[in-house]
Amino acid sequence: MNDLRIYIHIPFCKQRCSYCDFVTYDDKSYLMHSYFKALDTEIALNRQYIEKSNITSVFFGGGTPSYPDAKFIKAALNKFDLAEDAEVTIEANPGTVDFEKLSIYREAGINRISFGVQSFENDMLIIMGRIHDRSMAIRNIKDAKKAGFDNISIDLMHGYPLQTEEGFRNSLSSVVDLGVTHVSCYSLKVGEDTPLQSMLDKGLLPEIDDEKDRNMYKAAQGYLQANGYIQYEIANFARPGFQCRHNIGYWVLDEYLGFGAGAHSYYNGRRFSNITVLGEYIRSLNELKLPEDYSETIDMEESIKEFMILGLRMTDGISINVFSQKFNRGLYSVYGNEIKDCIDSGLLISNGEKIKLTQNGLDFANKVFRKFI
Amino acid sequence: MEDFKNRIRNFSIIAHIDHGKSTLADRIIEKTGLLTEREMEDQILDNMELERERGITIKSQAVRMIYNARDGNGYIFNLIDTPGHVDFTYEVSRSLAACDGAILVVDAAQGIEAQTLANVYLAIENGLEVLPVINKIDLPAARPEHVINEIEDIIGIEAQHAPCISAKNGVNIEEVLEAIVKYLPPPDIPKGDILKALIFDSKYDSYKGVIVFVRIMEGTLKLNQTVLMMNTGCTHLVNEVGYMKPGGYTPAEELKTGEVGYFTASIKNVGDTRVGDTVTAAENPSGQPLHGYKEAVSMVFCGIYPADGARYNDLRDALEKLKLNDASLLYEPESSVALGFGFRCGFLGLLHMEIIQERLEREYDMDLVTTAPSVIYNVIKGDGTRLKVDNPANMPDAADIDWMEEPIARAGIIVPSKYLGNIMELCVERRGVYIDMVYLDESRIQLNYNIPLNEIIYDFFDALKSRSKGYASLDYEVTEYVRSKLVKLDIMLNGEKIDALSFIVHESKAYSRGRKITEKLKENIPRHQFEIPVQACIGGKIIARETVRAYRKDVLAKCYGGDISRKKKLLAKQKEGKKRMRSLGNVEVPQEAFMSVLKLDT
Repeated sequence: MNDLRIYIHIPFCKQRCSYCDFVTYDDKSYLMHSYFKALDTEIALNRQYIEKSNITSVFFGGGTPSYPDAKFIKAALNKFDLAEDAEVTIEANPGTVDFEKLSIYREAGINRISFGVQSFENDMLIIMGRIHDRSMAIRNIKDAKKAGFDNISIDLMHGYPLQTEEGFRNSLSSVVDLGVTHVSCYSLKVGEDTPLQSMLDKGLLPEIDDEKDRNMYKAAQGYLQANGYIQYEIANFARPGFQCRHNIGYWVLDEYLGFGAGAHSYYNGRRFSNITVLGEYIRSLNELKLPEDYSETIDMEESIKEFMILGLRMTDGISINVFSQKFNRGLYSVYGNEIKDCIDSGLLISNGEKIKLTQNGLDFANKVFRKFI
Repeated sequence: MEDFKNRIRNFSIIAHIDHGKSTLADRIIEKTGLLTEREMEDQILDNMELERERGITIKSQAVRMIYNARDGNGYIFNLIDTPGHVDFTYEVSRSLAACDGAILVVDAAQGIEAQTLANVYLAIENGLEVLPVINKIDLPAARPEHVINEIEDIIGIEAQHAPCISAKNGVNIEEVLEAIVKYLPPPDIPKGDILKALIFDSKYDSYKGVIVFVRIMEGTLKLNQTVLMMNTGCTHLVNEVGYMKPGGYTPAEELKTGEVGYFTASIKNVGDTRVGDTVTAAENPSGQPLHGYKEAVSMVFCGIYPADGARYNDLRDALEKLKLNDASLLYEPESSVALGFGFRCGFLGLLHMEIIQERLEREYDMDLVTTAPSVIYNVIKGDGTRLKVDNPANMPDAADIDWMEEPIARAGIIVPSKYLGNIMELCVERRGVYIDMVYLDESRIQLNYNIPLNEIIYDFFDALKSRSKGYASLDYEVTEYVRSKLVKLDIMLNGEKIDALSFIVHESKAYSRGRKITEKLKENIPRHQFEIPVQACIGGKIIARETVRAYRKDVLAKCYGGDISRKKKLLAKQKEGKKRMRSLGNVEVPQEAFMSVLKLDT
């Protein structure tokens, strides 16, 4: 039996955040029933692939998976026969859950919850267009613990216009105080055609300050490591044993099937993704047609590129041995010059067995990735 | 013989862009039965892709037709299509010299435009009979009566007999054909019979060599005759003569006095067959060439470089091929510290330059970086020596220059009166000196200004169009050189002078130009890991400064949800962009940055 990971996209939000350009809708809740029905159909149409696989992780991402009624999530999860130690994650936004909802998740078999907190500073939360405040986030996280979640992740954002280094450090200490097991700490990326983008373009918010952003990133690295979290990827930190296996799967080229509007899959040598427009996604499945609208074949050459740009995201880097086992070619015979360039410019480091990003490389990872594309 | 000549009509069509010249030409060809409607590819005469798209004629074309008139006689019509732009005034004048009459097409809604006016005067100067035709009478805004009066008032030719037509809908085309027979004259009867033929165009064909288009002014051009080009002095053996038909050739034995046709003579180089030159018999040459011959003079210069330095040889080959068909294109190799190896090119004018650039990009798939266009300046040094400078890189040190001169163009602009203020303002901004202004009618004005040519070539045409909502039209002609306070403006990136960005500008414009350029460069130069000062300076003096701030990160922090394809594409696109950048010292400058400084006003 092949291992397989499952991603389920929930494209609904109570309110869209200022910076967000993900596939999600804050004005289409009336489609929820039809959507989950379509999701069922999509899963059913893929039964043959699911049944012959060992499902090692499931991830409900969004949007806001915690926004719809928990019964929908439970029903969707019930469609899968999971491996015994499968990791099952749901993304949740503070303000959309309570103890009861969290308990239903837990009972349904969800064993990891990732809170999109972004900040513990009330001012920043208003600017970002979030629906919660600091106390709501803290209460929800405590509720999750009470409901039996012992693997909790918090998302924090840095580099937001007007954000101060001091404020960000306060958020970091709140995270540590709450004793969660996992932290994702990522630099703001302004989505195209978002309210934030237009405010920045018009000068209604100050420009993003790279230097501050990097100071915050470094503060996160220092503070979290000092408190027992190990950085395992560009933006991810975890207590030992609590790394997100599902996300690591993406970076080591594991196969996954994605369900839902705009969901992506990598399966059987092909990357493909679904229609993002909600109505069209639903209509397609009502007609029993797979809603695929993009597809790319991944041959060996392409796979090698992906192995590099995804594998190097992890602080452990890539193993020279694994490369040659996987592709039957030596890493240096394919990328000798590129690796040398990156090492010479201080972006990569090698210990003879593995190659990984340096501290500087973590800040300029795209420079490295472009070499391997 | 006499009778035969009386049945020839050699004419061209003069019209402003969009007034329907090509459509009328198509209808005439169709009506004379050369091609059925089905065989006609629309707008036969404009056969270059670019010509069709821009709706202008770049190369002259000619076609011979037989028209059976209502008087029962058959007439030979030779339609010689002229290039339709001020840059090609000389070519137009030679094409007109090959004709005896001209049809002036005027849009019934728009009326006369600046360029039409210029070409009509050229036709009148060449002694042509002008037959006005009012086109587009099907338009709701058509005012044929008004336009007829306008023609009489402004040009001073009779227009009451002008056929009112719709070339698009094929209305009244017969009237035009009859009017050609009735109002346009047959060729003059020459005094002698020694061969004199006027070259009005030539083109390169990879099988036949150069095909030379001629009008026989006197004598007969025969197959197997040795001919002499009187101005270039080359001789060639004629191995084919004949007439042009749409899309092809009809070989014949000879071309007689008054006829229009072509010949080939295994000529390898279009430079040997210059427009305006006189073809005569080598054995019995004419004593006097036809008058009016001029060498093509380049007025506008710029550097053209391949965006990808490795394609230098491709660029050279492409220029060589274009030159085969366009003797007025000049190019010579030059090199720039910033852009590597490329060519300094000379053009008849701004449109000519744009056309060449576009043809290089489209027909030869070249990605180009061009430098700011320049004119020829006269530099008089302290020791009294005079220099001609068309490239800022060759400008001597300010300390060695006594004074400089720049070319001035007389610009005629026709503009609807409601945009008059905008356009006068533009002319003043461009250092224009007002000459006069003439009301063409209650709503349109012809404005005449003396404007330095270097202001006209610097996106003046775009500004003119944008400030008149596209209604203003321009005609210009260089008339003189005048003494002027000019300076060389240099641009520095990270403290290093970038030769490809230097240009020569009037002292009074240097500050504002310097500021705009530094702003544009700041927008178009990507952030580096260090801060990059962008400075404009004259001599050692810095007059404008911007800073490209350093970046401290280049990383996609969030990478989940499994959308790997998009991330790969983004990285691949960035990588492609980097390849097309020029490394100047340690600063990487994209192609767009070089191009952005060429258009500051729009």
